[in-house]
Amino acid sequence: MAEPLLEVRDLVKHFALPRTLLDAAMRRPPQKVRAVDGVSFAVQRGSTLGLVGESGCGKSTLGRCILRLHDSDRGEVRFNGVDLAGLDEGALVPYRKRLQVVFQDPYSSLNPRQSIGSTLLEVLDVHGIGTPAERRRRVAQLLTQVGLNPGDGHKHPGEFSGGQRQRIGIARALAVGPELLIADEPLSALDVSIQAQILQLLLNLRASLGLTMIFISHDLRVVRYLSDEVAVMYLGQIVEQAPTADLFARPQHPYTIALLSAVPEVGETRREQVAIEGEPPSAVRVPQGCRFHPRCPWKVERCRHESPKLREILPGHTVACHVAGGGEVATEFRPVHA
Amino acid sequence: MSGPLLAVEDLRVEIPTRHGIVQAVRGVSFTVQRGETLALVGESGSGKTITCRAIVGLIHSPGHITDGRVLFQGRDLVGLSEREMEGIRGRGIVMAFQDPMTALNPVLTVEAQITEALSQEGSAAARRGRVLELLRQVGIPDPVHRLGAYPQQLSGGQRQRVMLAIALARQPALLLADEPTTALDVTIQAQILRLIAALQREYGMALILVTHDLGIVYHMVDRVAVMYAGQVVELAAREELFARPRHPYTIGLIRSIPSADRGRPLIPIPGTPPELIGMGSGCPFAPRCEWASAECGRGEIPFAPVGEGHWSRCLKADQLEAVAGG
Amino acid sequence: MSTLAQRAVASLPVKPRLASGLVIGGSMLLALAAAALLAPALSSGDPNAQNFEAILQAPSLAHPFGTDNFGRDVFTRVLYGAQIDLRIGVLAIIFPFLFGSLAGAVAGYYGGWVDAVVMRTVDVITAVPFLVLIIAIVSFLGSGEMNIFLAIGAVGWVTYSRLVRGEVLREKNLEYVAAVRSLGFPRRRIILRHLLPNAVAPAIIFLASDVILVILTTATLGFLGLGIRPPAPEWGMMISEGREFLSSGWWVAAMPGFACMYAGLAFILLGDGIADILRVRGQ
Repeated sequence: MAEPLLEVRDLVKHFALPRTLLDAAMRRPPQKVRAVDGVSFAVQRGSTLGLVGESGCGKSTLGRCILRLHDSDRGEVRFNGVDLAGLDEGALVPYRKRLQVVFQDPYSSLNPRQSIGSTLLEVLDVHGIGTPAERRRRVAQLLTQVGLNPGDGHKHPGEFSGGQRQRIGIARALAVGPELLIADEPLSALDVSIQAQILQLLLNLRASLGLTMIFISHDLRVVRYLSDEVAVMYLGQIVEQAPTADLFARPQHPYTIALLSAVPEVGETRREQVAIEGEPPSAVRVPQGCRFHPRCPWKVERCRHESPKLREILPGHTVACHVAGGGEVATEFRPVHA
Repeated sequence: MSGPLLAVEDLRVEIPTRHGIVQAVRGVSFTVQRGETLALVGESGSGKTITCRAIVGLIHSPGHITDGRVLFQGRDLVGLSEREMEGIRGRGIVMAFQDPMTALNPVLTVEAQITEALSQEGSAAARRGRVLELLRQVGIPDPVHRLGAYPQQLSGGQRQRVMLAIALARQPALLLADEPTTALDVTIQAQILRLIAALQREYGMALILVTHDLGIVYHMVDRVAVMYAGQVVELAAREELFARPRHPYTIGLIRSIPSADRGRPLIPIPGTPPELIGMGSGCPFAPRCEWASAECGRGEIPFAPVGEGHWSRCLKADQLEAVAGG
Repeated sequence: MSTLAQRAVASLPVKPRLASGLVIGGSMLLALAAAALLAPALSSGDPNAQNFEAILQAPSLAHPFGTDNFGRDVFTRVLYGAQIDLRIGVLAIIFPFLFGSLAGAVAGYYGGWVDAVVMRTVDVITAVPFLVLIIAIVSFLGSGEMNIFLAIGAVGWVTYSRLVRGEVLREKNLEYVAAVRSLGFPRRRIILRHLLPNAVAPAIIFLASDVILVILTTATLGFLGLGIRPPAPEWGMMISEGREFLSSGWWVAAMPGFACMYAGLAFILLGDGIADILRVRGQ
């Protein structure tokens, strides 16, 4: 198999919580939010990885670490073989053109005081792309590419709707001609019918530009539609990863099973509802052993003490669970088959 | 008492603003029977939240109800004084709001807020007992220790449960739940929806569920009212709506949902919803509609029956019968 | 207004219109500045010319604002006073604005101990009432224009730093900042071209009213005998000196007082107008 475009290895990012003066004086170490706690995966060129999980699972932090918006504590982020995590700011600049991002909130992801044309021009300017005349043409081209009127470059973000602003954000990301696009919940702040429009746009752009994508979202329906492969995150770790169809047809991890059963779908007969009670624990006090075990309906004794590693259960399908796939046998556990 | 529990008739709400008059609700009509669940489906700007607020009399000046009736148990709520409305809120109709963080008072404890909602008769001990019972019913673990908690100390799901406890304190006949799960994770959402359904069964309560998520609608409600630009554009029983949608917007919404079958193309609705200021006549959806013709731009489109218990505000409803739904 | 109406309004393109505050306030100020500059031409030319034949004369054609107890023409003194007060007002705020905004931006962006040092200093200065500090400093340094600048410079920057810091704290977490960081924009460009323009608006708006605060402070110092030395026709001094003559010659104190009011109104209207312009289209 060809070398993946992006490979993440054992990435760790913890945030230290602020301490009181007393704690600092007594040298108590700060508590840490273990946002990303040992994540590894690879994305092949031209494919789309969906990263799903609920709030607090660390998927957004993971995205930002890949982009070097946060500096990770440990681990590697190999882009085309080069470890981005080890580069300093200066060496990183050429890579900024090759990985780009689309953010969630169309209302805060654009500088309100800059016209959109100027915003796009500035990107080309800073990266020295093309001559000034070529840049103006490129801006018009970008606007058209995302479905906007190329003559609207003088307008400010406030004059556009949420969906249109999201298009502008996409145009900005594409301006530098990236190979990898990280979309961090790009649809979540939009109305349903506009979501469909932007989703369609992303699909078309991906096809026409040959983009590799990491699509971060909590919306499983959209992830299923867009991704070739899906990774499920819980409390800072990947608990299951598989090709899309496989994950949805044969989920193996109890959390994935519960997650999928909770998604209300139109028209399908409902999956058997697996109720998990309680709330996810905080990423500060991560449970011992398997992180999910306090809420897991199928846990066994081993789950309390030993944290499971990702292992391949079916071809291309990895799970971090002691019980799944015929490991330790729990009395009632049975993964769902299509 | 016979007749529907709630009957909204041709409700109209206007909000004067600096830029003109926003016609937020333009002739909304629907009924809700005792114990029934009605979904109010729409996107932002459809008027679904304002409709609910109008029902409970929470439209603040300069907005006001300009026309129509809201008949609750046969009595018109429009035009009632604030005092009279206070008598109806809490026992007759309650509203649970979308964002529990802003809907709960951050300086009052959980116990204080639920107690406020209870009738003030009886002893303090009896009231506390009722509070604990409510907390148990909404699934708050270890309720005794949660009495003194403040909203900020609770998670999103727990706040939503507290809000439901407040809403149910006096066993209302009708609950208006405005996007109760939009801000929550999907597993918590499933918990809360199950809870609402259970409480509904227990109390025999009618429910108006405001949502934009057709998936939730599919699994939870009896009837659906689809709203667009301040009007109800389609009203039908749930199965009927998904099997035989008879309004282009409904069809568009259903088609906008990415299907499990990746081969099936996504067909987004083109364009954007209209400004609600200075709306002309004719169908507000026409500019985005693939079946629209010249006559759609003229006059008020009637809300007409297209089947048993199925109404649509579309001149082309018959043509749409051939279009497969869902 | 409900979110629905808010969205309906917010989604409308705002037609650019000349803020009336800007026009009126601006014109008033221009008129005042012109009058101040043209003082020699418009008035008798010498604010200190005494004339004991014409003491405490009521406003007349010869003396539009009357004369004071030294027979000096009040109109002339008010115009020449405008030179002094406007000059002080405008010059005194330059340093506080520049230094305060920069300090606030740095504190907000870098956080940590930099923020702590700046903000604790701000807290200490704020703990003492503004006028008390100014009076203390001026008493110590002596009167005179330069010392007023020094005093206001030492004290007046704190408000700007608070305003700008607050905005920077808010703005730096917004996604457009993350976006330009991910696009590899150098930090200087981010701070100067993206953060500052969005963070400095409240400071600019405050600037307009700060001018009048400075003028009033100068007037107060003059009133207390601490500011500009007589016989300089500073408005505050004039009001102070005119106190004794309220019954016999109300115009001596009142005219410079009206001048203060006029300038104040002009600056506030101007500030409103600037606020309107700086309010981003669509927000």
